[in-house]
Amino acid sequence: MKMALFTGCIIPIRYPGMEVATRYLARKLNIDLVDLKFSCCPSPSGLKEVHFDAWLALAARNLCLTEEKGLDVMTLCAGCTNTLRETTHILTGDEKKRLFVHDILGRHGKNFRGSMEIFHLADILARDEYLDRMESSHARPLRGLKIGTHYGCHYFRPASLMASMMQNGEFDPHFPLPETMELILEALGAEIVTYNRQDLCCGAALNINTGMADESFAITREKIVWMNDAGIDALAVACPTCFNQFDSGQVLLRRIDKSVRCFPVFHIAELVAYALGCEPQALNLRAHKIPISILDALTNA
Amino acid sequence: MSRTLDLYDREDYYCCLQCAICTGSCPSAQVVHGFNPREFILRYILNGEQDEVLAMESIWCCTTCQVCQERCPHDIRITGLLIHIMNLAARKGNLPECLRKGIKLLVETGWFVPTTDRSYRVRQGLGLKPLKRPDTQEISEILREAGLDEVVDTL
Repeated sequence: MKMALFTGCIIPIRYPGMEVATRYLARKLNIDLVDLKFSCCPSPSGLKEVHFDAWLALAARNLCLTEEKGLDVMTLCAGCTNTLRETTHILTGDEKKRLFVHDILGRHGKNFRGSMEIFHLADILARDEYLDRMESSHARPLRGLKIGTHYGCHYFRPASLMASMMQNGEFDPHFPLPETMELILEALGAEIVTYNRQDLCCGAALNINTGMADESFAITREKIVWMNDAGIDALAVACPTCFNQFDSGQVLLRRIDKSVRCFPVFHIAELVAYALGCEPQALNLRAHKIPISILDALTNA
Repeated sequence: MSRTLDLYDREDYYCCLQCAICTGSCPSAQVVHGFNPREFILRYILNGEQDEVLAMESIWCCTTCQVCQERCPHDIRITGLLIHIMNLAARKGNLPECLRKGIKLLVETGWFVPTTDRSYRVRQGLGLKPLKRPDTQEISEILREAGLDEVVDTL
């Protein structure tokens, strides 16, 4: 399978180890990744709030780059997935917006048709063929590791647009969360732990957009408390912004309350690459603020 | 108001019962005094206090998590309304400094995250390809043609 890799901004700039992990697991699973000169997606909690039409036009430009190559897109971030999906949805459904964007992109030799599909890495790995391969080929099982998941709001809301990300493509209002990471982690031998308020936002956008760090991390803190109550050993996320919020959030929380138990946070790509045999040093896990010693225990077991 | 009608059907908001499931579900409403999605619908749509709402700094506290509209019993597009309110507020100069800086960076570099020498060094150490800037001239032109210069003057 061949796809365009949409890394977004945060991963290649701030967490390049997650990019290493993605390329490693893609090689192992025979997914051919093509690099194109994408810009920021742009973020659904940034430019979209400030200028909707500029957000739409720039996202459409990114989609044109992949459409020119005839490729579907693989994303690594909840926000990128949401922006690119919603843009495709708007431009294939709203004639007024389509003409507006078509006119602008036409001046730059670009034409959006909407033939491509957008998938988060977790959506792809949760397909049966990859689950089977991960189950049979992992070098380092995550056996005994109790993992909780946090998807990132933009990965699954609105359900009308994002529900196809969920394994069965249907939205269950009583359990409004996807299952893709659970399926992947189970295939790698981990034990899945659920916790209260699992669908609550990580709180990052509040800090990023307004600088209200205390309030932003108060949201994160609520989630960390519930995760600890459920006894997780590690947290798996599908979004680098959420990653930073939980990784840094625990450091800040420890400053207020020394008794808080900390747990490492991983992007799903890091856990998959590790389980498939990638050396931890190659993943630059030093960039994590919360120590990842839990993996050493697995490696030495 | 006419811009609101362009994007959203005002009738859709009239069915708001003010039940406050939006505010009860909202992560920011739990931690920011004065941030209240239910009240935004009441004041902006039902009471017609557009100017007052557009001047409020707290409108920017929405994380766009969309839990409000997902749980609304009348399927009111509350996040959509808030994004629209923020768009109009930005045109009137009500825009947090953090976002203004982020957008300036996006226009200049094509990315929303700042790069340092270290970002380039770490990538090299990990054996990754060097970061390559996207076509920033084309990007800033597209942003301007879409109307971003109504909000920021860096274009």
